[in-house]
Order: sequence, then structure tokens, then C-alpha cells
Amino acid sequence: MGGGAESDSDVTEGPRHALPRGRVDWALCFYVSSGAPASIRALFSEVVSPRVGCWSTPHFSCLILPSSWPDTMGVTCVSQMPVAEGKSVQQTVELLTRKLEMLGAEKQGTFCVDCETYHTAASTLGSQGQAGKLMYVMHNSEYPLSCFALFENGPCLVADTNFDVLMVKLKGFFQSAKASKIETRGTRYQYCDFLVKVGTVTMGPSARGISVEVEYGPCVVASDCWSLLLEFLQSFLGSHTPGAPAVFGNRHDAVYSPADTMVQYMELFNKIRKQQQILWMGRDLERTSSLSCNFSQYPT
Amino acid sequence: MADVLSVGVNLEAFAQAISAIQALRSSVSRVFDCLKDGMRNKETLEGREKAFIAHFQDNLHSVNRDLNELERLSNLVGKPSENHPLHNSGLLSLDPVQDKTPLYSQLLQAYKWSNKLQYHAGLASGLLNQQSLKRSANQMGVSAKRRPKAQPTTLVLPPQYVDDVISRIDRMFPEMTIHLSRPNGTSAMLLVTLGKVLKVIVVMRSLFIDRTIVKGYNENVYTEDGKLDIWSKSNYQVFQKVTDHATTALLHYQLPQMPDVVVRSFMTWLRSYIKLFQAPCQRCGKFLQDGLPPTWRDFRTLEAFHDTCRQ
Ligand SMILES: [Zn+2]
Repeated sequence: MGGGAESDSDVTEGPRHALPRGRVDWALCFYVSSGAPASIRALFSEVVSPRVGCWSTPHFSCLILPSSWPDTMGVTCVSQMPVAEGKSVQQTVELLTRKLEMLGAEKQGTFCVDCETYHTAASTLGSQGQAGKLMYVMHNSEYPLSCFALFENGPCLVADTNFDVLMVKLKGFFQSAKASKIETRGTRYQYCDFLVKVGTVTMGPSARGISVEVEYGPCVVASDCWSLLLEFLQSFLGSHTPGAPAVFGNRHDAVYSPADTMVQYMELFNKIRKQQQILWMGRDLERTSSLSCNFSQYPT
Repeated sequence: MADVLSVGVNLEAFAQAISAIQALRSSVSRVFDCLKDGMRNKETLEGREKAFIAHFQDNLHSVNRDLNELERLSNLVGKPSENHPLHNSGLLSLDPVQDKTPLYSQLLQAYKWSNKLQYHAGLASGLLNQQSLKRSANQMGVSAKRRPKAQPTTLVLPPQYVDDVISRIDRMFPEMTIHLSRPNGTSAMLLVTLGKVLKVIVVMRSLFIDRTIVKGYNENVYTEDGKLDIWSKSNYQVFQKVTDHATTALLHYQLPQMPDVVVRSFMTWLRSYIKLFQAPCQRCGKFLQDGLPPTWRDFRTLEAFHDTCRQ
């Protein structure tokens, strides 16, 4: 099913980006967004309907991955830095960056990672009682031409930025969650072969937390350099040094990829969202309990 | 200048000697003037000859006298130049325009330096002679006649032999893959991939290793036209350091009579970098020092050390 000439040429770009077998729903997304002729798109929406995850869809590989896409990056650890007691997010970020500068790290521009959540639309859920999946569409300023799409615990897809257009077209299948956009922005620091990014995580207008990303460029196998990375993290995070990220454990001596970093950011964003929910719930509880107090003061 | 005077230069005798030299020169030129003028007009031929001979004799006498005077004075002047450690160049210190031409102090400095250099070179050659594995030691131990014989034989090894040695090493270390190519004639180039840690480009001349460049596993080792890039260095400081150490290792492992042993020793040493990011320093116990892991591997024990922790 090799669509237009355009996609044919893309197929030759490399089996190195081959999709995990059985993930045919992703294959479809690849294909449609690569600018396939309208007739073929129509065909597929028929085949696929009413569900996106149609297991009989033929397997396509990586039609829209840019050929310049880097295979690997250095092993990276993304973690959350708690806000220091009695300090604002901004003040804690300043403390952290000052520590880095004292260490000898040099400022090297800025960075941004953003994430938007999509629900599987209720109308597309199959009769087999499949639960609605959440999908995260993310961007990373380190890879300005790419777009990442992730399922929770699922595969990570790397596409070009056309994917954003595709998501608009797939409104019937995926709906953007309300006010779900979360992002982190901050400064990049270079220290020897380490790249450190300290960012302020924001949801809507307000700052919700601090993200710390540390990449060790020379090493591509996570289990090889975790001890080394830990020693570096301890040198400026002290008691807030995180444990090994979950993605490190998954693949024994596999080469670390940028998708692994995006998975870590997704998990960090989810963690911060949950923290906010607990915070709000706590506030609600407080408010109701104070109300009931007031009620009890009324003479009966 | 005072110390030079005390060496024993008699300045007055010096001045007299100079005027004695002047006197000698003028009397010598008078001799030649007399000879040039020849016989002057006199009434008789006999008279002419007599006058000429008398004149010539007078002149020779005065030359003799002036010469004797100069010899006498030169004994008085003494021999300061021989007493001075810098011999005649010590006289430069007599130059009154010291400030404009500091030649003498520069000369002393250079003299001290060359003395020190000679001393240290002597120590170094003594030490090198004790180390039997080094290139220089072998070449010094071998007589000058044998050396040029030994070199060419190892340089003209057949390519097939080189291939065999390399493929045997390749089979020896499972975590190491060696890819051999010959893009520029008979000289082999190796691309060594060590686990998922690093890649090394090795430029060979017969079985001698000429040059190595160490790069990261995820770094590009080819130029745009698909050839091995033997010139550009790694983007990462850690691999630049390892490249430096590998170059040091090439100088360490030298055994001109058995080049295959050298290549095998070098590869064995290189293989110890499989734990580049996993081995803490054997001296300070840490992973990082100034942002770098232990990049040095001991040539004998293969233990990991930071560059500044090794001894
Ligand atoms: Zn050390």
C-alpha cells in the first residue's frame, strides 16, 4: 500500500525508525499526515471507522520522520525540584542556577518543552469495551522540526510538525482536553560534557513547579552512566537528587533516544498535574470544613 | 665591569699595546712604500743602490723594534680571556653601552640554559635506557648499523599479513569490532567500535600505528564523501582526553622487532575503556573530577584513574 511517490521516497529513508509491530494505529497517523492523496485518506477513515485502533490496517513504517532526525542523544535524567520552603518558584530557580554557575556551568540559550493532552473521543470507542486512552502531543525546542506523540505506558512516535495539523483533522477521534496545556521553559547550561536545563513548569498563567533535565552527551547507554550521572546530580541538587528514571530500567543496554526524554517529561508533567489536583482538593476540603465550622457556630 | 678588571687586565698596558700596534703597522707600510718607490735619482748608480739599501735597512730595523715592543707589552696585558669562563666572549662585558646592547647578560642566560638542558637531557637518556619497551631505548640499544635494517622489514610487510594480525585481534575481543579498510593505497585504516561506548579511528603504516582519534559512539566518523574522517576531533571533552591518552599509549607500547605484539598490547589497553563511564577512579574513588570521568588507564594494570589522580 505505498501511496504517492512522495511517501515511497520516504520509506527508503531508513528502517532504523521502524515502528514496533502491532502498533498499527500509529502507522495510520504517520500515513495520513504525510500528505497522502485524499482518496486514500477517505479509504482509511472507512476502514478504521469507528475506531482508530484498527488491527487490520496494513503496517506502514515511518513515513513522516524527517531523515535528519537524530537516532540518539546522550543519557538524560528529567526530575522535579521541590520549591524551597518559604521561597517562590522563581526564587528557587534562581538559587539553583546560581549553584550551577558557581560550579562553572555556562549559560547557553533557552529551551522549552510543551505538552497537550488528548482524549479518545467517546463516539470512537469500540464495542469491545476498550477504555479511552490518553494521548500526549509534545514539542521540544531541541528538535524544532519534530513533534512527539505518546500514549501513557505506550510507544512514543516521532513525527514532523505536520502532526499538529493531523490532530486537528482527527478531531473526531481525539479531542483536546480542556486547558490541558502544560509547559516548561528555562535556561540551558553547559558544564564540561553535561547539558543542564532548569525550567519553570507552567499550567495556564501560573508557575506550578521546577523541572531539572541533565544530559550526559558522551554516553548512550543509561545503565552505563547512571552512577556517574547521580554523582553529578548530587553536586548541585543535594538532598533533592532523584532516583533512576523509570525509562532507564525498561531497556537493558539499549541506546538512549530522544523519545525516552519525552516520556520522562510526560511523566513529570503528569506528576505535577496530580500534585495540583491534590492541592485543589485539599483547598476544597478546607473551605467546606471551615464552612461547616461556621454553620456550627449558629445557635440552633 | 669591576670583576672583569680584577681578573687582571692592565688597562694602561693595553693602551700602550694598541699604540704599539699602530706603530708597527706604520713601520711595515713604510717598508712597502720604500720598496714601491725603488731607487731615487742619485749622481751614480752605486750611490743610488747604497742609499736604497740603507733606507730599506732602517725601515726593517724599525719594524723589528716595534714588533719587540708589542711583544713586551702583550705580556704585560696578561691573558684575561683565558681566565674568564666565557673565554673571549667575556670581553663583551667591557662594552660601555650595556643598556643599549644587553648582549652580555643574554649570553650568560643562554649559557645557563644550555648547561641545564644538557644536564636534563643526560638524566632523561639515562632513565629511558632503563625502560626496555620504549622505542627510543630499543633504538639506542641497537647499534647504529642494525637500526636501518630493522625498520624497513617491518614497513614492507605484505597487506595479507596485516589483515591476518588484525582479524586475529578482532576475534580475541568479542566486545570490540574492527573494520579494516585501505582507502589510500596499502596503508590500512581501522575503525574500532568498542561496545556502545566509543569508536576509534586508527591510521596504520604497515603494522605501525601512526595516529588514533577517539570519538563517541553516537558521533559521526565519516566525512561528507563517505571516507573515514581522520582529522576532526570529538565534540566531547571526555573523548578528546582519551584521544590524548591513546596517543601516549602509542609511544609507550613500542617493540620495533615485533609490531604485531604492539598492536595487540594497544588494543588490549584500549579495550579497558569499555567501562569508561562505569569505573570510579582507583585513587579518589569518585566518578567525576572537573566534569570528567576517569579517562586514564594504567598501561600495566589497566586500572582507571582521573588524569590528575594517576602517578
Ligand atoms: Zn580520581
